[in-house]
Amino acid sequence: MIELKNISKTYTKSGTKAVDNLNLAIPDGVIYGFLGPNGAGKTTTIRMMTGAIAADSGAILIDGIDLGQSPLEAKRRFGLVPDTPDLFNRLKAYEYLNFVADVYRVSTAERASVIQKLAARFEISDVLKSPIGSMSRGMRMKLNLIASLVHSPHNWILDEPIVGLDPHAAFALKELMREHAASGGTVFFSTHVMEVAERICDELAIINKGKIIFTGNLDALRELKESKKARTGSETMAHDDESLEALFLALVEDAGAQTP
Amino acid sequence: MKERSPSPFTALLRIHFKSVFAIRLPARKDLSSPKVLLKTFGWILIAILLTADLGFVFGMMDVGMYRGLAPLGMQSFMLLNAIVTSSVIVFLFAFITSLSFFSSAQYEALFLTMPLTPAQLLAARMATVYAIEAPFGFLIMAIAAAVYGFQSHPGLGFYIQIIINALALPLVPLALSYAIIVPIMTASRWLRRKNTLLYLGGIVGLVLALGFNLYLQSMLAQIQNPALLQKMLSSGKLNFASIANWWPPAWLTMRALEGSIAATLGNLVLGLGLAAAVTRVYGKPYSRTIINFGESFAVKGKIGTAQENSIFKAKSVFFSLVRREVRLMNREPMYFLNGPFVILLLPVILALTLIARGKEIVDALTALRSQLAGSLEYLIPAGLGMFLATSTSIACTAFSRDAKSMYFLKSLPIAHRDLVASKLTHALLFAALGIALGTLGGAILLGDSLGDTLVALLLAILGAGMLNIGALTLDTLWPKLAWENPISALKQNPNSIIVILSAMGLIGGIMALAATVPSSKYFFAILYGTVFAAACALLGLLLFKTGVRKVGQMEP
Repeated sequence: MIELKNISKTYTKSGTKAVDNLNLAIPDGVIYGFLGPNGAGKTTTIRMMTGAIAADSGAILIDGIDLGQSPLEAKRRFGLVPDTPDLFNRLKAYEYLNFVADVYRVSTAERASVIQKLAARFEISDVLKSPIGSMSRGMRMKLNLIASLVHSPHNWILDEPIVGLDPHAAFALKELMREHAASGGTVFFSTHVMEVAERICDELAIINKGKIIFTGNLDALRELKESKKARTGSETMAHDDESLEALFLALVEDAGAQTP
Repeated sequence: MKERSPSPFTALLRIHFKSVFAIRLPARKDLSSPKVLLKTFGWILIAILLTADLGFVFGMMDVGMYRGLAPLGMQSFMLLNAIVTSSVIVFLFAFITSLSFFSSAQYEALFLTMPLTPAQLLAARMATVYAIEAPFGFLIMAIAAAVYGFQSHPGLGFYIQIIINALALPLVPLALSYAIIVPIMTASRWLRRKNTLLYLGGIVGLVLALGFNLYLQSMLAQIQNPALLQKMLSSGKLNFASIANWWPPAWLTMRALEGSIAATLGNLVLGLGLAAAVTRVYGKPYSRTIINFGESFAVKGKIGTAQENSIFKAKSVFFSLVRREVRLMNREPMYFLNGPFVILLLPVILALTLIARGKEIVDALTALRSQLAGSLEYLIPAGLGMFLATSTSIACTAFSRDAKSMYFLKSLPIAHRDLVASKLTHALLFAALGIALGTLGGAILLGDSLGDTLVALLLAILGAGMLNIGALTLDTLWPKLAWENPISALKQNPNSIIVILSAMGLIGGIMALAATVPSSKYFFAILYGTVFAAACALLGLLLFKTGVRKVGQMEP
């Protein structure tokens, strides 16, 4: 379980308030989507959640462990798939996986088993000896997925994971996310595409300009869509269709209009 | 009135120039910040120092040569030497620059989707290389013109001719560079790889730079002996004189400086004609090389059950962190060639200088040995070791180089203290190699006793430790976290310049102090040893207290 309590972040250099008093509780056993347009504060939130940058205020709890108080212990409880797959292009794939496994203190037998199993599933077993720089973007993304699971974390955090994956790999990832959640783990992933969230997640949060503008499950989102439609008439919705994508855009635009 | 848009070729030229000469001058309002002011002042100082350094070397060479040849009435050979030197340097620059531009071929290939012909693409690239190399050639010619003008008082026509010819001279070397490189690049896929190019460019650059150093050293040796210079000139054994015989731009320029307008026109026609011919002939092959540049294929091969235990063997976190540091530095050509490789490069330059000016240096060393009675016997080798141990820029760019992966690294359960310690260990591992080569090599050259060698080693270890801890502290407190290519993280990182200049200043300072203040032989060993040890402790404290806290605050 991941809890974010009243976290805020202002970048000192630009003075931009990227995240404003954000509260989220991501329960175990669900796939939780984190949606928002570009620049909404998704990546900043994930960076704070994973300890890459410090929040100005508030608390982040990973399985009840305060990230600020016990960072190492909290970090051992999650695996992260970063948004950029170009991390260590000069390393060979297995060297990178070994590095991550060493950091999480995974035994030789355990890492060999997890890596071989996942590499087979994502069909990259035959390129593990290759330099990461020689791999395609999709392959590098798959490698990051494997690296994030090498220590079998309880919480799985994925930043824009679908980008660059072929349909087969995207399907394998969705399956894996479902299995992880079904086994009681937490899956938290960010995306800016409503369609992706609609197909994968059980619950979601929508963020815009650093503030949460919706939390709940897909049914709640559909109810909101219906009530909005009844209240204002579909012709007044920002986009001329009735999909959740249109509602997502309408919500974002409404929130944008209300922000001074 | 309708605004006229530039032609596609002009637009391409503009974008090349803007990306190559992307020097951003600070705005007037930003100059109120001491940091910006200091940085701007530092860059201006470096530019002045570099120009003055080049000007001094060539100026001294020209003055020496003029004075040596004037009694024979052959002073114009000084100009011929400048013409040949300028052509050779420009060729070296053009060759390396054009080779290095292939690294950005993937981006350049995008221009092929635009209404531009392959010849225009190559012409724009060649014009960019010209804009980089021509000022160097022009500087050499300008210095020679100034020396010659000051001594011989030629008319205005001489200066006009030398300016036009100095601008024309780089054209033939430029055209030849592309005429050589394009067919080679077309020939092999192996060559069209960024890594290959970086190593190749580095090694070719190194060989050419060493060759140039050898040439300079031998020229300086000849200039110091005017009788030898006159003898070699009259017997036709001077290198530059023989090069000029078969290098048309050189003898055309010489004729031009004697007043021939036809020779100046000939130089311009030759240069521009050859450059135009190269763009026509090699335009299409050039476009093919940039389209196919950087094709990479992952090596296939599964990890079998038998290999699993060795390949996936678990290691300690610290060992894994240090190994990551070493691998990432040594496998990135830009980092390796400007980092750890320097430890090997500087002794090679020293060895070549010894070969070029062997007798003089051996004589100087013998004289130095007889004069060295005191602390300099161990301080010189210690200084050499300290310099080599710091020259790799490993410590002073440790966090800057990691900027792109800092987000991910900070999300891993790695104690910031361990991260700092692994970076320090990496720097100290290579510092040890620098000390072994510099200090032991220096001690052998000076014929030091075992005792003095040991004292030198101890001082070098403490001094190098202090400099490396200081350098890492600097990069921990002020890392350069925003950059586009690895060279910005290392070579163009202000921390590298600060550290290398500080090391040079410190080493020079300790030598100067020891040479001027009378004392017992080991007084300075005790003094410097104590100061270095205390500085190591203090800087270590700063690094592991403030520095570690700063890592936590870094916002990748």
